[in-house]
Amino acid sequence: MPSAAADYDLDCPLVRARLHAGDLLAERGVYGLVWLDDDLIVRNRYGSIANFIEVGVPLTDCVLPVIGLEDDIRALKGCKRSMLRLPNVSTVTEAGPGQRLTLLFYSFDETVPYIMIVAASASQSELELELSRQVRARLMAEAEALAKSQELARANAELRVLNDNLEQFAAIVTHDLKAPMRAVRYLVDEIDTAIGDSDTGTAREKLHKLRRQSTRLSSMLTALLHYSSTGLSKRSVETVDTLALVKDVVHSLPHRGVEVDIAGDWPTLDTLVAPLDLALRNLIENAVKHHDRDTGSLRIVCADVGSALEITVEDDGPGIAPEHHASIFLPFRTLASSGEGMGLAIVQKMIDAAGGTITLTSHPAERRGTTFRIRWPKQIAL
Amino acid sequence: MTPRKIMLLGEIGVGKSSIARRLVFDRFESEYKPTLGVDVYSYEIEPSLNPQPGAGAKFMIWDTDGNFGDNILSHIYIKQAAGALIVGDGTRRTTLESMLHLGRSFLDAMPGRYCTFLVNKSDLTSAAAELPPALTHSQIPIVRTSAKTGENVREAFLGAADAIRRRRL
Repeated sequence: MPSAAADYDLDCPLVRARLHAGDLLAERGVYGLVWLDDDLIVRNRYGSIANFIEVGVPLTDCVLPVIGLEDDIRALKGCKRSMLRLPNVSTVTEAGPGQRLTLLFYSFDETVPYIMIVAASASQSELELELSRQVRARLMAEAEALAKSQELARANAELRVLNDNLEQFAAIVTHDLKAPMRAVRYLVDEIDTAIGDSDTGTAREKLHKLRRQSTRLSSMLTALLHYSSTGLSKRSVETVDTLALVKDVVHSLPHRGVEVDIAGDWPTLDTLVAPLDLALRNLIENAVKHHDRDTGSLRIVCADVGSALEITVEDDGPGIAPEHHASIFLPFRTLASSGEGMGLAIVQKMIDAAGGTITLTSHPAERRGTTFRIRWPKQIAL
Repeated sequence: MTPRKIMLLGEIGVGKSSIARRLVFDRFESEYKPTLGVDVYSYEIEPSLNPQPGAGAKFMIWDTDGNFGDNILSHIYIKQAAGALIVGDGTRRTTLESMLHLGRSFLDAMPGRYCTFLVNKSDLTSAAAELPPALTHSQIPIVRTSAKTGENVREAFLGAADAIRRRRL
């Protein structure tokens, strides 16, 4: 902008050269000028880049991005060294984005209160565009890699659990089924000997035992299959009234003189219904089955402990000796004369898979009774 | 009536421009073209959708360059904004965290203005996909959108327009 009287001397070659350069830039659409009055009405314009601006109308009618800046433009008045800059603005229409422009506002003088310079945004835009594309591509690749890494970690964790289950399953098959299989073999040998001795009485007796043993073996295998096949799926998550659930379980089981009391706060929540049912069913059934008296009591209490429900199943039965506390949750471990000993193993598996825990408290030497305490998470992670 | 200004803010590549194009032109372009500076769209609510025809029906949507980050809040672009739709990419968790930070910063810088989170690209995520807990507890409304299918884009904007009109912003 001219700042001294000499700058207006058209006889001065430097002034003429500067003005000519300005004309060239204006003709080539590099910059344009717009003169504005106090009301920000367009009074004149210069340069092809400003051709979209209509003379005689408010600037805000032609240049939408200026809407809201009127006060800031007016604040420039009298401050010749101040400028308001609105950079890199493009107005988008159905045909696509318009030319990207930078608008510069200055205060001028009494006759022309404000001037707006319209300039084409710098050509480094193409480089910035490409840089933005590359940064975005990198960010998306990083996000994808992170998601895959997390998926891999989850799959590995699942695989570890499956491997552990497989090892446990193999250990059970080789160890716990070996005894009954051995018994079957011995009985077959004894039957063979008895037949050889024409001792039909002994042979018949051994055959009877063989039948019982094979039945026992069959039921062990069935129980083992049931244990290994109990798993989780997302389809199992349902909204459940836990009070109604525990009442159903209690009413469906024989009590044999054991009085059952349900207490505490039993909420409605989205959880794995079948596993919770199975866990409660086995604990309640166990408490009744192992009770050594004609009458007894069983108390089932639920409490909200923040992120989990704490369900306590407390009986007044004979208790479980401490030396059995660790092994009682293993498959085929039973302190009763009947049953396969899979109940608590199934309970443990159900609770583990839901992300919960189960603990046992029992000191029969000090007092009667056994307390199982389940922590069942309110949010199931699958 | 002076058009109201609504900002589209968020990290690069979350779909701000796609949302603007879907809203204004009902169009989606799969090719990515980064926004430099700001693209300004003019949008007028259809009379059939405007509960108060003629009142507060015109808006300017300022689709900003995602590279600004927090600096957008001290930029001239944000002046006189009535509200902001802050966009995150539902398939990139880091952008949702940035969205939360930007939302809080926007409301600190411009108290009383309207603000909503748009979790975009819902066509690529499940409806049950978990959002960061801090986002869901932020008390800023959240809308899952898809610029590709158009899901909830107009609804999110109409909600913003209605709130701006009621608050006389």
